[in-house]
Amino acid sequence: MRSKYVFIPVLLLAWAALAQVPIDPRTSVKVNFPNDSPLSLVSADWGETRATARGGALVLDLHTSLSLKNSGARRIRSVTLLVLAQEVTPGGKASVAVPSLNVASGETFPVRVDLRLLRPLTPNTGPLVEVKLDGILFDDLSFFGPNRLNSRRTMTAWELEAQRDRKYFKSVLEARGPEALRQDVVASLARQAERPRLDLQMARSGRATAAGAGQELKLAFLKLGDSPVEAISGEALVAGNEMRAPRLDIRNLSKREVDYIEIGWILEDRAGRQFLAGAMPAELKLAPGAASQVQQETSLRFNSRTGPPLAIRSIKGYVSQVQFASGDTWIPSRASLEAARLLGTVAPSAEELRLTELYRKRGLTALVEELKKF
Amino acid sequence: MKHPSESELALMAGGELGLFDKHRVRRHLDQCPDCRATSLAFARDRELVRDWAGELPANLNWNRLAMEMKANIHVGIEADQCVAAVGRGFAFGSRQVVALASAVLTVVLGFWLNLPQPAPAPVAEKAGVTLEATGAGIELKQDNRSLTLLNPGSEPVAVSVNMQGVLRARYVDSETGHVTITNVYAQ
Repeated sequence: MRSKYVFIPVLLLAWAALAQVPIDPRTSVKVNFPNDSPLSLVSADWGETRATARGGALVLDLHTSLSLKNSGARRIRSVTLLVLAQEVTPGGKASVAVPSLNVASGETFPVRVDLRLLRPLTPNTGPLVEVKLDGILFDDLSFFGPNRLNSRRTMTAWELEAQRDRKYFKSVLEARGPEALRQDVVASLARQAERPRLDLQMARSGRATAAGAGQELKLAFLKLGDSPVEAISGEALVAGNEMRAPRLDIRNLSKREVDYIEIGWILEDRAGRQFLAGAMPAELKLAPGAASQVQQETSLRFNSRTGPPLAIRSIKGYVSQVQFASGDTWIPSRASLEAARLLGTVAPSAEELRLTELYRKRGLTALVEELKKF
Repeated sequence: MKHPSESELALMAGGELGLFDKHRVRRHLDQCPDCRATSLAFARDRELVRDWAGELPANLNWNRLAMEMKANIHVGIEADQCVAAVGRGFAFGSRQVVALASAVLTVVLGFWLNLPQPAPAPVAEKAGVTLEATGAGIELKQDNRSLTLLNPGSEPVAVSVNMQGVLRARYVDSETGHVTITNVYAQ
């Protein structure tokens, strides 16, 4: 009797095969680097890249590992790749960056790109995804690339953080020996594990949810001793787990013109938990001693992955980055972060992550050897 | 020819059959005078019951009547199943018909889903753009379209948002040990 129904799973399999839209990564995904780029694509492993029809939509799951080669003479510290899917999200884009590299001339390194596109079924008229080079930062802080994402500024800050944290771990090793370094790295791993995780939702020029109108909350600011810019005061609208339209007044304390600042936000909820929520950047022209107001028409909603629902009680800000008109960049020192008790709240730098992961995987000897390379 | 059951004919007379069953039974009634007569009889009975309803005595025990009606319906259904088990000489049973219909439907649906559909009108740039960080990754959504940078098998160490419209997640690649930072932009 059962044999009569064997054709059902066979037909279902046939349907499943029909639902898998054939996709050729070579035509659906385009990797495009400039001809004069000191970075070249050696190979691309497309792994389990596939497209599936779901309802009236096409779902593209792209999983690739690009093998890139440093064809230039200088050592590469960071790379940012721009990922464009204009048909899917007009005006929207994404990027994948790999900081804390140390790639010598002629060496290769992998960059993984895992993404999913969801869009209405339409005749395919070109590549669904385009991967382009946005920038390369070298060990002398020089830069190559179109810089559409302002990746030069971002990667420079990452590299300064890397230099700061390497210097810190080296100083611990030199002053107090390998055992002290081990203790410091274990403490860092513990901080990383204890950092609370947040789910975030952001909407520009509007509210992220239909929560109530909310109340205006005065912002508090942490003073980092060596900061060239001071945040004087600020307000934001807060309703439950939602924060809207933050506004703040800042002053340039330095003797140099400032053209970019970033303020980091730390939320505290009614349960006393602290979360690093993100940053408020502002491009401006701030003469020495001058003050200015910065405002963003943005709504943010936060959800805690663990524990009770998040209800914002207070918001603290601190100056996390300053770029001067000369091109120099300031970031907080490790000592000032520690003094402001921010080390446990702010995200560890990419270099601290890399070094602690190296210790976790390969032990103290490998970490000491790595620090000696710089 | 397979005849509909009496319960199906009764439901047909009352207009209570489902869409596909109604179509199937109606086609059968067009060709089968016996079933058509039975269906008409059910319809007449229905009209008679409706007429008599106004003449029912006021002291009628409705609960008892309902129980008797339920019992009669069950007896009728069971009797119909007994007759069906003996067989009416059909080459193709109802299970096979249902299985074949389901399979044909799934194949047709699969084929239809793969047909290129007309693209909707382009939405206004930046209208309704949201950025979202979830357990799966960081996502840029606009209407019925989305672009998600997926977590590469591990939880991000840090997720943060830049209020100019950038959502960022930071991972350590467990295979290479490299730190990878993914961003989606709503600008």
